[in-house]
Amino acid sequence: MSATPETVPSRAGRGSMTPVPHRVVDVVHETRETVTLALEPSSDAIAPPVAGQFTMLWAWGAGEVPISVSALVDGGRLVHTIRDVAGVTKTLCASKRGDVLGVRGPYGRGWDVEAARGHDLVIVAGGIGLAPLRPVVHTVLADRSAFGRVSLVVGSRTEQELLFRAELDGWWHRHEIDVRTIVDRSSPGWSGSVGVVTGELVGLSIDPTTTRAMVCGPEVMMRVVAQHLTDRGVAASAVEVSVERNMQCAVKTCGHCQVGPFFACTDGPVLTWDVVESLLTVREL
Amino acid sequence: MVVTTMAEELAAHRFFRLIPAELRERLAGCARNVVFGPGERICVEGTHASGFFAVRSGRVNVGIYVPHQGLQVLETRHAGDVIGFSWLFPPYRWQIDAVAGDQVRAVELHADCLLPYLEEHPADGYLLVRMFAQEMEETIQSTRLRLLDVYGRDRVRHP
Repeated sequence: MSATPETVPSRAGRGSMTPVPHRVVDVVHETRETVTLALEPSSDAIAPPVAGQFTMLWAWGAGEVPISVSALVDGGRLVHTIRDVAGVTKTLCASKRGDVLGVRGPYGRGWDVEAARGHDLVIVAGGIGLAPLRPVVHTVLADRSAFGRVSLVVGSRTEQELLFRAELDGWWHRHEIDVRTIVDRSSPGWSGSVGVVTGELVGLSIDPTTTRAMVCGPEVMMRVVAQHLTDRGVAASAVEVSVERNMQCAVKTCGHCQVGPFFACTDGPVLTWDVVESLLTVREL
Repeated sequence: MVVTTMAEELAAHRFFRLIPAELRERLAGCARNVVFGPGERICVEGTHASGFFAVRSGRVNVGIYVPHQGLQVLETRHAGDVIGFSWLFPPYRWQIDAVAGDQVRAVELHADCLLPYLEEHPADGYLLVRMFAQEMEETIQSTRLRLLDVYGRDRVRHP
Protein backbone atom coordinates (compact mmCIF):
# COMPACT_ATOMS: atom_id res chain seq x y z
CA MET A 1 0.00 0.00 0.00
CA SER A 2 1.45 3.36 -0.91
CA ALA A 3 1.43 5.95 1.82
CA THR A 4 -0.57 9.15 1.59
CA PRO A 5 -0.22 12.35 3.60
CA GLU A 6 -2.99 11.08 5.86
CA THR A 7 -1.17 7.81 6.60
CA VAL A 8 2.23 9.39 7.23
CA PRO A 9 2.32 10.40 10.89
CA SER A 10 3.35 14.03 10.97
CA ARG A 11 5.75 15.38 13.54
CA ALA A 12 5.31 18.84 12.07
CA GLY A 13 3.99 21.80 13.92
CA ARG A 14 2.46 24.88 12.35
CA GLY A 15 3.88 28.06 13.76
CA SER A 16 2.81 31.62 13.24
CA MET A 17 3.49 33.20 9.86
CA THR A 18 5.06 36.18 11.59
CA PRO A 19 8.86 36.04 11.72
CA VAL A 20 10.31 36.24 15.21
CA PRO A 21 13.34 38.55 15.50
CA HIS A 22 16.60 36.75 16.30
CA ARG A 23 20.03 38.26 16.72
CA VAL A 24 23.13 36.75 15.12
CA VAL A 25 25.45 35.85 18.00
CA ASP A 26 28.08 33.81 16.16
CA VAL A 27 29.30 33.45 12.58
CA VAL A 28 31.53 30.57 11.42
CA HIS A 29 32.81 30.49 7.86
CA GLU A 30 32.81 26.75 7.12
CA THR A 31 33.97 26.90 3.49
CA ARG A 32 34.41 29.59 0.86
CA GLU A 33 30.66 29.79 0.31
CA THR A 34 29.13 28.20 3.42
CA VAL A 35 28.48 29.92 6.73
CA THR A 36 27.07 28.71 10.04
CA LEU A 37 25.02 31.24 11.98
CA ALA A 38 24.05 30.98 15.63
CA LEU A 39 20.93 32.97 16.46
CA GLU A 40 19.36 33.94 19.75
CA PRO A 41 15.82 35.27 20.14
CA SER A 42 15.44 38.97 20.75
CA SER A 43 12.25 38.27 22.72
CA ASP A 44 10.30 34.99 22.71
CA ALA A 45 12.00 31.85 21.41
CA ILE A 46 10.39 29.64 18.80
CA ALA A 47 9.67 26.00 19.65
CA PRO A 48 12.86 23.90 19.80
CA PRO A 49 13.49 22.13 16.48
CA VAL A 50 14.31 18.44 16.02
CA ALA A 51 16.98 16.99 13.73
CA GLY A 52 15.95 17.30 10.10
CA GLN A 53 13.53 20.19 10.58
CA PHE A 54 14.01 23.61 9.04
CA THR A 55 13.05 27.19 9.71
CA MET A 56 12.20 30.02 7.35
CA LEU A 57 15.00 32.57 7.72
CA TRP A 58 14.13 36.11 6.76
CA ALA A 59 16.76 38.66 5.87
CA TRP A 60 15.07 42.04 6.07
CA GLY A 61 14.68 43.57 2.64
CA ALA A 62 16.00 40.50 0.83
CA GLY A 63 13.42 37.78 1.44
CA GLU A 64 12.88 34.46 3.12
CA VAL A 65 14.30 30.96 2.50
CA PRO A 66 14.02 27.57 4.20
CA ILE A 67 17.24 26.59 5.99
CA SER A 68 17.86 23.34 7.84
CA VAL A 69 18.83 23.29 11.47
CA SER A 70 22.45 22.11 11.65
CA ALA A 71 22.77 21.65 15.42
CA LEU A 72 20.39 21.34 18.35
CA VAL A 73 21.19 23.69 21.20
CA ASP A 74 19.32 24.35 24.44
CA GLY A 75 18.16 27.75 25.57
CA GLY A 76 16.41 28.96 22.44
CA ARG A 77 19.59 29.29 20.39
CA LEU A 78 19.30 28.21 16.75
CA VAL A 79 22.14 27.00 14.53
CA HIS A 80 21.81 27.08 10.75
CA THR A 81 24.36 26.34 8.05
CA ILE A 82 23.74 28.28 4.85
CA ARG A 83 25.30 28.02 1.44
CA ASP A 84 25.63 31.20 -0.57
CA VAL A 85 23.84 30.53 -3.84
CA ALA A 86 23.01 34.20 -4.48
CA GLY A 87 19.81 36.05 -3.62
CA VAL A 88 18.60 35.77 -0.05
CA THR A 89 21.28 33.24 0.87
CA LYS A 90 23.99 35.71 -0.15
CA THR A 91 22.51 38.26 2.26
CA LEU A 92 22.21 35.66 5.03
CA CYS A 93 25.80 34.50 4.52
CA ALA A 94 26.97 38.10 4.79
CA SER A 95 25.35 38.43 8.25
CA LYS A 96 27.51 39.78 11.03
CA ARG A 97 27.26 39.46 14.79
CA GLY A 98 24.53 41.73 16.05
CA ASP A 99 22.47 41.62 12.86
CA VAL A 100 18.81 40.75 13.30
CA LEU A 101 17.07 38.09 11.19
CA GLY A 102 13.48 36.90 11.20
CA VAL A 103 12.71 33.28 11.99
CA ARG A 104 9.55 31.21 11.43
CA GLY A 105 9.19 27.61 12.40
CA PRO A 106 10.45 25.08 13.07
CA TYR A 107 8.74 23.25 10.24
CA GLY A 108 8.60 19.81 8.73
CA ARG A 109 9.07 16.22 9.59
CA GLY A 110 12.58 15.42 10.78
CA TRP A 111 14.73 12.29 10.90
CA ASP A 112 13.24 9.40 12.85
CA VAL A 113 16.17 9.06 15.23
CA GLU A 114 14.09 7.15 17.78
CA ALA A 115 13.37 4.41 15.24
CA ALA A 116 17.11 4.05 14.66
CA ARG A 117 17.87 3.25 18.29
CA GLY A 118 18.93 -0.36 18.65
CA HIS A 119 19.69 -0.57 14.93
CA ASP A 120 22.73 -0.18 12.70
CA LEU A 121 22.63 3.23 11.08
CA VAL A 122 24.07 4.34 7.75
CA ILE A 123 24.18 8.12 7.32
CA VAL A 124 24.97 9.39 3.84
CA ALA A 125 25.44 13.09 3.18
CA GLY A 126 26.36 14.95 0.03
CA GLY A 127 27.53 18.56 -0.04
CA ILE A 128 25.38 20.86 2.11
CA GLY A 129 23.29 17.74 2.92
CA LEU A 130 25.60 17.14 5.88
CA ALA A 131 24.08 20.16 7.65
CA PRO A 132 20.65 18.62 8.40
CA LEU A 133 22.32 15.32 9.32
CA ARG A 134 24.85 16.78 11.75
CA PRO A 135 22.32 16.86 14.63
CA VAL A 136 21.76 13.14 14.05
CA VAL A 137 25.48 12.46 14.44
CA HIS A 138 25.53 14.58 17.59
CA THR A 139 22.60 12.58 18.99
CA VAL A 140 24.29 9.27 18.18
CA LEU A 141 27.58 10.31 19.78
CA ALA A 142 25.79 11.58 22.89
CA ASP A 143 24.16 8.19 23.41
CA ARG A 144 26.47 5.89 21.45
CA SER A 145 25.53 2.63 23.16
CA ALA A 146 21.90 3.07 22.11
CA PHE A 147 22.80 2.40 18.48
CA GLY A 148 24.46 -0.49 16.68
CA ARG A 149 27.14 0.02 14.05
CA VAL A 150 27.01 3.58 12.75
CA SER A 151 28.61 4.66 9.49
CA LEU A 152 28.83 8.16 8.09
CA VAL A 153 29.67 8.57 4.40
CA VAL A 154 30.21 12.13 3.24
CA GLY A 155 30.50 13.13 -0.40
CA SER A 156 31.77 16.48 -1.57
CA ARG A 157 32.80 18.18 -4.77
CA THR A 158 36.32 18.82 -3.48
CA GLU A 159 38.25 18.54 -0.24
CA GLN A 160 38.01 22.32 0.19
CA GLU A 161 34.22 22.16 0.04
CA LEU A 162 33.89 19.46 2.72
CA LEU A 163 31.60 20.79 5.40
CA PHE A 164 32.48 20.74 9.13
CA ARG A 165 35.98 19.48 8.29
CA ALA A 166 37.42 19.80 11.80
CA GLU A 167 34.40 18.10 13.30
CA LEU A 168 34.62 15.27 10.74
CA ASP A 169 38.25 14.73 11.72
CA GLY A 170 37.22 14.67 15.37
CA TRP A 171 34.52 12.09 14.74
CA TRP A 172 37.01 10.00 12.77
CA HIS A 173 39.56 10.10 15.58
CA ARG A 174 36.97 9.07 18.18
CA HIS A 175 36.51 5.74 16.34
CA GLU A 176 32.95 5.53 17.67
CA ILE A 177 31.46 5.73 14.23
CA ASP A 178 32.91 4.72 10.87
CA VAL A 179 33.55 8.01 9.06
CA ARG A 180 34.30 7.93 5.34
CA THR A 181 34.76 10.86 3.00
CA ILE A 182 34.85 10.86 -0.77
CA VAL A 183 35.30 13.73 -3.22
CA ASP A 184 34.40 14.15 -6.88
CA ARG A 185 37.75 15.74 -7.68
CA SER A 186 40.98 15.20 -5.77
CA SER A 187 43.58 17.82 -5.00
CA PRO A 188 47.24 17.37 -4.05
CA GLY A 189 47.54 15.94 -0.56
CA TRP A 190 44.05 14.45 -0.46
CA SER A 191 44.36 11.02 1.12
CA GLY A 192 40.69 10.06 1.06
CA SER A 193 38.69 8.42 -1.67
CA VAL A 194 37.73 9.84 -5.06
CA GLY A 195 34.43 8.99 -6.75
CA VAL A 196 30.71 8.92 -6.01
CA VAL A 197 29.37 8.10 -2.53
CA THR A 198 28.16 4.66 -3.58
CA GLY A 199 31.84 3.76 -4.12
CA GLU A 200 32.33 4.08 -0.36
CA LEU A 201 29.11 2.21 0.41
CA VAL A 202 30.38 -0.83 -1.50
CA GLY A 203 33.05 -1.33 1.15
CA LEU A 204 30.60 -1.04 4.06
CA SER A 205 29.49 -4.21 5.77
CA ILE A 206 25.71 -3.92 5.97
CA ASP A 207 23.31 -6.22 7.77
CA PRO A 208 20.06 -5.47 5.92
CA THR A 209 17.92 -6.98 8.65
CA THR A 210 18.86 -4.33 11.18
CA THR A 211 20.08 -1.39 9.13
CA ARG A 212 18.33 1.95 8.88
CA ALA A 213 19.63 4.76 6.69
CA MET A 214 19.35 8.54 6.54
CA VAL A 215 20.34 10.17 3.27
CA CYS A 216 20.56 13.86 2.42
CA GLY A 217 22.04 15.53 -0.62
CA PRO A 218 21.25 16.23 -4.24
CA GLU A 219 18.24 14.23 -5.41
CA VAL A 220 20.27 12.22 -7.95
CA MET A 221 22.69 11.22 -5.20
CA MET A 222 19.88 10.21 -2.85
CA ARG A 223 18.32 8.10 -5.60
CA VAL A 224 21.48 6.10 -6.34
CA VAL A 225 22.23 5.67 -2.63
CA ALA A 226 18.69 4.50 -1.84
CA GLN A 227 18.79 2.09 -4.78
CA HIS A 228 22.18 0.77 -3.66
CA LEU A 229 20.92 0.17 -0.13
CA THR A 230 17.66 -1.46 -1.17
CA ASP A 231 19.53 -3.62 -3.72
CA ARG A 232 21.53 -4.87 -0.74
CA GLY A 233 18.35 -5.81 1.07
CA VAL A 234 17.73 -2.82 3.30
CA ALA A 235 13.97 -2.22 3.55
CA ALA A 236 12.82 0.83 1.57
CA SER A 237 10.79 1.85 4.62
CA ALA A 238 14.03 1.98 6.62
CA VAL A 239 15.71 4.41 4.21
CA GLU A 240 14.89 8.05 4.94
CA VAL A 241 15.66 10.80 2.45
CA SER A 242 15.25 14.56 2.72
CA VAL A 243 13.25 15.76 -0.26
CA GLU A 244 14.49 18.82 -2.07
CA ARG A 245 11.79 21.19 -3.32
CA ASN A 246 11.23 24.92 -3.59
CA MET A 247 9.44 26.02 -0.41
CA GLN A 248 7.82 29.39 0.06
CA CYS A 249 5.13 29.31 2.76
CA ALA A 250 6.30 26.22 4.70
CA VAL A 251 2.76 25.63 5.96
CA LYS A 252 1.19 23.60 3.13
CA THR A 253 -0.59 26.55 1.60
CA CYS A 254 1.29 27.82 -1.44
CA GLY A 255 1.79 24.44 -3.12
CA HIS A 256 5.31 25.15 -4.39
CA CYS A 257 6.81 22.14 -2.64
CA GLN A 258 4.13 19.63 -3.62
CA VAL A 259 5.44 16.20 -4.59
CA GLY A 260 2.49 14.17 -5.81
CA PRO A 261 0.13 13.91 -2.83
CA PHE A 262 2.77 15.21 -0.40
CA PHE A 263 3.96 18.63 0.65
CA ALA A 264 7.67 18.62 1.36
CA CYS A 265 7.24 21.38 3.94
CA THR A 266 4.89 19.51 6.27
CA ASP A 267 4.77 15.84 5.19
CA GLY A 268 8.57 16.07 4.68
CA PRO A 269 11.22 17.10 4.10
CA VAL A 270 12.18 13.70 5.52
CA LEU A 271 10.23 10.86 3.91
CA THR A 272 10.96 7.18 3.58
CA TRP A 273 12.06 5.69 0.27
CA ASP A 274 9.04 3.39 -0.03
CA VAL A 275 6.87 6.52 0.01
CA VAL A 276 8.82 8.69 -2.43
CA GLU A 277 10.61 6.31 -4.79
CA SER A 278 7.83 6.23 -7.37
CA LEU A 279 7.31 10.00 -7.08
CA LEU A 280 10.95 10.96 -7.51
CA THR A 281 11.13 9.06 -10.78
CA VAL A 282 8.27 11.12 -12.25
CA ARG A 283 10.22 13.69 -14.23
CA GLU A 284 7.65 16.45 -14.09
CA LEU A 285 7.31 16.38 -10.31
CA MET B 1 45.40 -20.95 11.16
CA VAL B 2 42.78 -21.24 8.44
CA VAL B 3 44.22 -22.09 5.03
CA THR B 4 42.05 -21.19 2.06
CA THR B 5 42.57 -22.19 -1.52
CA MET B 6 42.76 -19.62 -4.28
CA ALA B 7 39.39 -20.83 -5.60
CA GLU B 8 37.87 -20.18 -2.16
CA GLU B 9 39.43 -16.72 -2.09
CA LEU B 10 37.92 -15.96 -5.47
CA ALA B 11 34.55 -17.28 -4.31
CA ALA B 12 34.64 -14.78 -1.45
CA HIS B 13 35.28 -11.87 -3.83
CA ARG B 14 32.28 -9.89 -5.10
CA PHE B 15 33.39 -10.03 -8.74
CA PHE B 16 33.77 -13.83 -8.91
CA ARG B 17 31.03 -14.81 -6.52
CA LEU B 18 28.40 -15.65 -9.11
CA ILE B 19 30.49 -17.51 -11.69
CA PRO B 20 30.35 -21.31 -11.90
CA ALA B 21 32.72 -23.16 -9.58
CA GLU B 22 34.44 -24.94 -12.50
CA LEU B 23 35.38 -21.66 -14.14
CA ARG B 24 36.49 -20.28 -10.79
CA GLU B 25 38.80 -23.28 -10.37
CA ARG B 26 40.25 -22.58 -13.80
CA LEU B 27 40.75 -18.88 -13.00
CA ALA B 28 42.39 -19.81 -9.72
CA GLY B 29 45.06 -21.62 -11.71
CA CYS B 30 45.98 -18.30 -13.34
CA ALA B 31 45.99 -16.31 -10.10
CA ARG B 32 48.34 -15.38 -7.28
CA ASN B 33 48.07 -13.28 -4.15
CA VAL B 34 49.86 -9.94 -4.13
CA VAL B 35 50.37 -7.26 -1.48
CA PHE B 36 51.22 -3.60 -2.11
CA GLY B 37 52.42 -1.14 0.51
CA PRO B 38 51.02 2.40 0.75
CA GLY B 39 52.13 4.45 -2.26
CA GLU B 40 53.37 1.43 -4.21
CA ARG B 41 52.62 1.34 -7.94
CA ILE B 42 50.27 -1.43 -9.00
CA CYS B 43 50.32 -0.62 -12.70
CA VAL B 44 51.77 2.13 -14.88
CA GLU B 45 50.17 3.73 -17.94
CA GLY B 46 51.77 2.68 -21.22
CA THR B 47 53.34 -0.51 -19.90
CA HIS B 48 52.26 -4.02 -20.85
CA ALA B 49 48.92 -5.00 -19.30
CA SER B 50 49.73 -8.50 -18.22
CA GLY B 51 46.46 -9.14 -16.36
CA PHE B 52 44.07 -7.64 -13.88
CA PHE B 53 43.72 -7.27 -10.13
CA ALA B 54 40.84 -8.20 -7.85
CA VAL B 55 41.12 -6.04 -4.73
CA ARG B 56 40.60 -8.00 -1.49
CA SER B 57 41.32 -5.21 0.97
CA GLY B 58 42.61 -1.66 1.05
CA ARG B 59 42.11 1.29 -1.27
CA VAL B 60 43.59 1.75 -4.72
CA ASN B 61 43.87 5.19 -6.28
CA VAL B 62 43.41 5.09 -10.04
CA GLY B 63 44.46 8.03 -12.16
CA ILE B 64 46.52 9.51 -14.93
CA TYR B 65 49.96 11.01 -14.60
CA VAL B 66 50.12 14.67 -15.61
CA PRO B 67 53.59 16.14 -16.21
CA HIS B 68 54.70 18.51 -13.46
CA GLN B 69 51.56 17.72 -11.46
CA GLY B 70 52.03 14.06 -10.66
CA LEU B 71 49.30 11.45 -10.46
CA GLN B 72 45.83 12.96 -10.79
CA VAL B 73 43.61 10.55 -8.89
CA LEU B 74 40.32 10.09 -10.75
CA GLU B 75 38.71 7.36 -8.70
CA THR B 76 39.31 5.12 -5.73
CA ARG B 77 38.73 1.39 -5.94
CA HIS B 78 37.92 -0.71 -2.88
CA ALA B 79 37.68 -4.30 -1.72
CA GLY B 80 35.40 -6.18 -4.10
CA ASP B 81 36.43 -4.12 -7.14
CA VAL B 82 38.59 -5.20 -10.07
CA ILE B 83 41.25 -3.08 -11.71
CA GLY B 84 42.29 -3.45 -15.32
CA PHE B 85 40.43 -3.90 -18.59
CA SER B 86 43.42 -3.40 -20.92
CA TRP B 87 44.56 -7.02 -20.76
CA LEU B 88 41.49 -7.97 -22.85
CA PHE B 89 42.27 -5.94 -25.98
CA PRO B 90 45.25 -5.10 -28.21
CA PRO B 91 47.58 -3.35 -27.75
CA TYR B 92 47.43 -4.75 -24.17
CA ARG B 93 48.79 -1.59 -22.61
CA TRP B 94 47.65 -0.06 -19.31
CA GLN B 95 45.64 3.11 -19.89
CA ILE B 96 45.87 4.18 -16.25
CA ASP B 97 48.17 4.34 -13.25
CA ALA B 98 47.07 2.59 -10.07
CA VAL B 99 48.70 3.26 -6.71
CA ALA B 100 48.00 1.65 -3.35
CA GLY B 101 46.29 4.22 -1.06
CA ASP B 102 47.08 2.08 1.97
CA GLN B 103 48.13 -1.54 2.30
CA VAL B 104 46.39 -3.40 -0.49
CA ARG B 105 45.82 -7.12 -0.73
CA ALA B 106 44.73 -8.34 -4.12
CA VAL B 107 44.59 -11.32 -6.41
CA GLU B 108 46.47 -10.88 -9.67
CA LEU B 109 45.16 -12.86 -12.64
CA HIS B 110 47.53 -13.38 -15.56
CA ALA B 111 46.47 -12.74 -19.14
CA ASP B 112 49.07 -15.15 -20.60
CA CYS B 113 47.28 -17.94 -18.79
CA LEU B 114 43.71 -16.65 -19.13
CA LEU B 115 43.44 -15.46 -22.73
CA PRO B 116 44.36 -18.76 -24.48
CA TYR B 117 41.87 -20.62 -22.28
CA LEU B 118 39.08 -18.11 -22.92
CA GLU B 119 39.73 -18.23 -26.68
CA GLU B 120 39.33 -22.00 -26.59
CA HIS B 121 36.27 -21.87 -24.35
CA PRO B 122 34.12 -19.07 -25.76
CA ALA B 123 31.22 -19.72 -23.37
CA ASP B 124 33.50 -19.03 -20.41
CA GLY B 125 35.07 -16.14 -22.30
CA TYR B 126 31.63 -14.66 -22.98
CA LEU B 127 30.70 -14.93 -19.31
CA LEU B 128 33.89 -13.25 -18.13
CA VAL B 129 33.65 -10.48 -20.73
CA ARG B 130 30.03 -9.84 -19.67
CA MET B 131 31.20 -9.46 -16.09
CA PHE B 132 33.86 -6.98 -17.20
CA ALA B 133 31.28 -5.15 -19.31
CA GLN B 134 29.14 -4.73 -16.18
CA GLU B 135 32.13 -3.32 -14.30
CA MET B 136 32.77 -0.92 -17.17
CA GLU B 137 29.13 0.20 -17.15
CA GLU B 138 29.32 0.90 -13.43
CA THR B 139 32.53 2.87 -13.93
CA ILE B 140 30.97 4.87 -16.78
CA GLN B 141 27.81 5.55 -14.74
CA SER B 142 29.90 6.72 -11.81
CA THR B 143 31.77 9.06 -14.15
CA ARG B 144 28.49 10.38 -15.58
CA LEU B 145 27.21 11.16 -12.10
CA ARG B 146 30.36 13.10 -11.32
CA LEU B 147 30.10 14.99 -14.62
CA LEU B 148 26.67 16.15 -13.43
CA ASP B 149 28.49 18.04 -10.69
CA VAL B 150 25.57 17.45 -8.37
CA TYR B 151 27.21 19.27 -5.48
CA GLY B 152 27.85 22.29 -7.70
CA ARG B 153 26.88 25.82 -6.90
CA ASP B 154 23.87 25.90 -9.23
CA ARG B 155 22.13 22.99 -7.54
CA VAL B 156 20.58 24.22 -4.37
CA ARG B 157 18.95 22.26 -1.58
CA HIS B 158 15.76 23.59 -0.08
CA PRO B 159 15.86 23.40 2.84
